Amino acid sequence: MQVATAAILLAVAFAAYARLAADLAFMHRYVLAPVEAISEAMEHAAQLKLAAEAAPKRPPDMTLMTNWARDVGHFLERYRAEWAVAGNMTDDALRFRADLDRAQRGELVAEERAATNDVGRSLERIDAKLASIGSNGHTAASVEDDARDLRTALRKLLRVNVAFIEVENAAIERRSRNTSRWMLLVGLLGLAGALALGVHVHQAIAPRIRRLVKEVQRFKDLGVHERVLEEGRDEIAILANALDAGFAAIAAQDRDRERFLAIVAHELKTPMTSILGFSELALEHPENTQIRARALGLVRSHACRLGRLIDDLLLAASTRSGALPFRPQSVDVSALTERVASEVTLTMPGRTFDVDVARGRHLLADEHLLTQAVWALLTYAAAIAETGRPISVRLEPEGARLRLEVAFDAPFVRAEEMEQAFAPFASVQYEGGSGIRSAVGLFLCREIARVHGGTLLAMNPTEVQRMLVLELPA
Amino acid sequence: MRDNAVLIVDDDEDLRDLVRFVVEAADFDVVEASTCREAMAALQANRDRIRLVLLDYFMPGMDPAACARELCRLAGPTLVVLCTAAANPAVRAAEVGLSRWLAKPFEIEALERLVREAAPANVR
Repeated sequence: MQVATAAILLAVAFAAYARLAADLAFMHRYVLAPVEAISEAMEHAAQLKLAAEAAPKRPPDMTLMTNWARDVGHFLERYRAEWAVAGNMTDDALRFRADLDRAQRGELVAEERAATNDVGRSLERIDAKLASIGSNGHTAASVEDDARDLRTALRKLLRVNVAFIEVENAAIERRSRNTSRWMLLVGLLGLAGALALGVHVHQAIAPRIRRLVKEVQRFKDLGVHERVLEEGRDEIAILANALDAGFAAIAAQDRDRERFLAIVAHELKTPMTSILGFSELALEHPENTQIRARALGLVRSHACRLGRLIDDLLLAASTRSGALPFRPQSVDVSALTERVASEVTLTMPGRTFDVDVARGRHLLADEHLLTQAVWALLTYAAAIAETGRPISVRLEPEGARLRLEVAFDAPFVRAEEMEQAFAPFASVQYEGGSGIRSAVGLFLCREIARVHGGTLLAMNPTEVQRMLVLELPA
Repeated sequence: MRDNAVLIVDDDEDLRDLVRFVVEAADFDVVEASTCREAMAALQANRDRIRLVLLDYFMPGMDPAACARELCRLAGPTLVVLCTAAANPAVRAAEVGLSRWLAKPFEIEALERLVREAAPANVR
């Protein structure tokens, strides 16, 4: 709408400018130019008259007189050919005659014709007398009256042309006023159209924007997200869809986080239940050595596992904020692997690890991080491995790298689920394994491998066998 | 074999042992299950003497609500209690359609009260 209004305004302005330019050109060519030529012709007529008046006292220069008469003749020819309104069929002349009619000055055309005829007749007489000077008793003085008539006719023609100027000037002023009115009208129509369009756009957009704002506010206040149904293809629909995608992602993250926290709470509270329960029983039955031994064993193994879990969480938080602490030193990876395998066996008595470690393998590594990584690999394997089947742990050099391979049977775990477990807040729960475990450890393990310049990969060598491979530069 | 038993459904062996110590002292047998499938089988096999079912919320390979629904159907009037480590155990219990819960970590006394409540003299 705005573009259309601007285009119309420009068109009207250009048309007005073109008309004004045409009017000015017309004024210069058909009104001012003939006035100038008439003035010049009047000057020649005056000189002719003065020469004729002075002829009795001083013999005139006949060549000059003949030239003046000839120049006036040329003027008359040109006037009739180019400027005379009557009989002229050019567009400009037709338009000018229309202007004369509109101004009710049509008689000026007849007056112009009469004036040019008078000029012509006077010139004919002057030419005839100048040609016959010396014969028939004609002298230069005999053209004096004709020269006076010539001046009178030219003055009459000048008055007609001045009247033409007045008419044309009035016509130009009228057209200018009309053009201004048209431009004002188009401008007002454009303004009204733009306002109407603005109101229409506001009415069309405002409810949709308000709905989006309401959805954002609702999500902010309650954390509840319902899909914003915007089926259009405009920018608001694109924005709504982007908001939808953003809300859905945030809601999914929230759900993951809540689920993760629930699992972590379960992981923390479940061993605490056993610790509290058995310690209570041990205090109630101090004579029962079986209960006391069980309580102490539980405290030890759960404290170890919970300590690792808490370390996992803290390191995962550091990793998420990009500040995983890395303090490298020479580490005996062989001894570290055996030690961690023993610890995991202690906390998961039902699990057996088949450990095959090449002796004396050292790495420049962060011992705390590496311990946590190996712990994560083994506990994850223990969580999802089939009950009653040993977990194979092999450490061996491979080229310039040290390769730790944890292999186990897990028929309940699909191959793609192995990779999903590397997500930061993923969790695993498998029937046939040893229960539910949060998998911050695997995300963390991969990050630990990365800061050491190594890799952690999940592989599926057979239909049921799964394998985690940690490779670190030696 | 005693006339009364408690079915403990939990994947944590230590917790099952803890329940065993407490419940056997109250002259109840303990029937253990580490999965929902095992629990349903155990409930069907011991329908006449199970007085209390203790059901853990997080169990491997099952939907807690579906498991609770199926166990309630099989248990009939037997008391089914949700054991949960959730921050809001009442909400969690309502989620799975149960009205009773035991929040982890629990005191031995709380478990003993439940067992006493489930004893035949107290069953209406």
